[in-house]
Amino acid sequence: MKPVLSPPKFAIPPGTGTPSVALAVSVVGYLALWGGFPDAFDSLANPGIWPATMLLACVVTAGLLLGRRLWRHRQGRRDNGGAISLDDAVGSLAADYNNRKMAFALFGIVIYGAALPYIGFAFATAALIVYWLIMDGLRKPMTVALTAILGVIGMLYLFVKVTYAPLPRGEWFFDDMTVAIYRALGIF
Amino acid sequence: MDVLRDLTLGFSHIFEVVPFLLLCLGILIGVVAGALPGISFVNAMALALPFTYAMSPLLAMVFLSGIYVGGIFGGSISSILINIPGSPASLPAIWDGYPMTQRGESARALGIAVVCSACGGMASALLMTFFSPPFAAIALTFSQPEFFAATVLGLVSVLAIAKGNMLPSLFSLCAGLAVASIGLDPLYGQPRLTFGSPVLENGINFVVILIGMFAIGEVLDEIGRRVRSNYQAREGHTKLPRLRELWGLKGAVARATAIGCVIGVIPGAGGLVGAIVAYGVEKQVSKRGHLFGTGVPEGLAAPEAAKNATTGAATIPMLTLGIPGSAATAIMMAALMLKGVDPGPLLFLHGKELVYTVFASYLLANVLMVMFGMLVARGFAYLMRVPPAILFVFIIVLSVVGAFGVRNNIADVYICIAFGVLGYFMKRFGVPTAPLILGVILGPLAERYYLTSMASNQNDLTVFFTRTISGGIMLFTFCMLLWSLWPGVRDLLRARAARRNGTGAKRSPQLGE
Repeated sequence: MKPVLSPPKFAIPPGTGTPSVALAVSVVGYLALWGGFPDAFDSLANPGIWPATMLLACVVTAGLLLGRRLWRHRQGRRDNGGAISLDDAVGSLAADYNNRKMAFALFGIVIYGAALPYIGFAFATAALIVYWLIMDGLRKPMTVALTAILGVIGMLYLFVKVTYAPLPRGEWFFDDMTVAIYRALGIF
Repeated sequence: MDVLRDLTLGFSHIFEVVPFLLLCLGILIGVVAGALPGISFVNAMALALPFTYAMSPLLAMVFLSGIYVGGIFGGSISSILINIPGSPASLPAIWDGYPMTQRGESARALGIAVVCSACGGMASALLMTFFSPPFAAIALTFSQPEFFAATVLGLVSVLAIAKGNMLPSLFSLCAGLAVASIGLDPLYGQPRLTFGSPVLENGINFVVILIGMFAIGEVLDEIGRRVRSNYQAREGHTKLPRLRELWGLKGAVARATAIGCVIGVIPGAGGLVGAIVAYGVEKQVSKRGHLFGTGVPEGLAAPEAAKNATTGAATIPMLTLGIPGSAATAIMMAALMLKGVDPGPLLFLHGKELVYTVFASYLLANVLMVMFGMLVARGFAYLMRVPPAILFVFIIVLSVVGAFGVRNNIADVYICIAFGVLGYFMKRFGVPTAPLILGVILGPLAERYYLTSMASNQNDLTVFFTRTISGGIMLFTFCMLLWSLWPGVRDLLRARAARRNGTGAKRSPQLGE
């Protein structure tokens, strides 16, 4: 017999978070489009008709998903005499994922992207490599330092020298330092 | 015959120094990336895209073809040796490949896998070579309504494969189509959902989304997993099967190749679906079907042949119609479009040299794949010693460079990261990402064909159904949609009947439904 829990009085049914978010985003998107194209459906060749139709379809499918989850939750409660089964109560944010590590990884990636135009590709990438290796458990100083240095040098040669990619050089001091690095490496 | 003459010209290009070396490098990268769990060959192709910016269209396609052909086999090495699929399409190789390894027959298993993969891939490449030109000739008679119908078929086929996951897939697809409409509309140049941002007015390039979801999203998923795989990496010697053994597998390989070729043409299907379907069919048909799962050669040969057979088949709609048959061919299409080359029937008129060089590269790649496959299997133990942390951080950096390189715009990097995060959460909460990606790729095409059809036919919606070819395609699409909806409707009716009768098991809601 499945273990059951007594639900709190005003509990949010489990598993309805994702469809709810999807529905909310779809509605906001549709309203945003409707603001620019209130007459989207007046003509079959209206420039707003395609995105309006797709956003409306998103609203409908998200609504159906949410409705189905709520209906099944209600069926489950009725079958269990008003309680909810344990596997209903446990969501996907459970034992399989290390949310803390994932949050650190996400933070590193976002900061890397944000820092790129300001400190340049070379410095931002070196910092990301050091951060990432330490975060993921690779903490030998020599390994971390060599990976960061050789990795950045390799990337610069490959993308700036070979493919002429205009990677961000950063601003002020970092721009000057990046140019100095390029000159030292013979990139230009 | 024209085809043979053009193919000879293609081979003459492939055997020049630079294209040949690029093809070999591509195959090697593909096999290595495929063999490493956590990185699939699609990731490798997405990451290789920035390297193609400096290449000509011909070299770019040769390079990416090599990665594609090599990569789709590469995952089988880790499947067979360590019971972990290197890429999703290699999942079925575990079922009979790993038991063979456990019996001490890893060399034989690798040999069967690589040869059957090459056979399936070669047949598919030949199909592509000889079938594409006449199909392109037919496609030249297509007008906007026919192209719209074909695009709709491509979009619906993703749902047909989703079956038990229909609503989340439909939502994902519509979201992708909506995201693709951000920017200026293709007919009037009106901005939609741009919020006054000049960056968004240029639209969101699907390459950026591809890189974000396939590379960054996957890395986030891997890094967040609490349990990392702990396994002993083995060195894999390969023993090529004798002709007699190969002859004994001819039925399995032939059936699987046919299945792979058919499934490969369907947009969104790809190697995994082909491999699983071929395994299932072979299990039913084979005399030793009841022994599948215990290390039966047919159980390994069938999925291997099928998944490589999808490669050439998936390239056919990409080259002839400009509709990619898989994520990998979508990346190849992106590489062409970034260089101003538009895939489609006109490519067979004005870009024959490129097209037949691609055909030649697929054919040669399937032969060279045997050698590189054996080489990588041999060095597999050394590959597995590279710490995942180092691999993942360089995937992130390459993704960022790739996204930046599309338009040399830092905004693309932010969009790439945002979609990477979105892709991670979609995967985490059971919303499929493949339909979204397909929607982003096919959305602009579908809208353009739709609007121009409407503009040319006085806003007459029936034009898609009254023209012979487009009407036929739409009818087929409708039947496919009904076929995919039927299991859900049938289950609903059965559940209702069971409740009315007071029978039927209690059922907990499934995640992602």
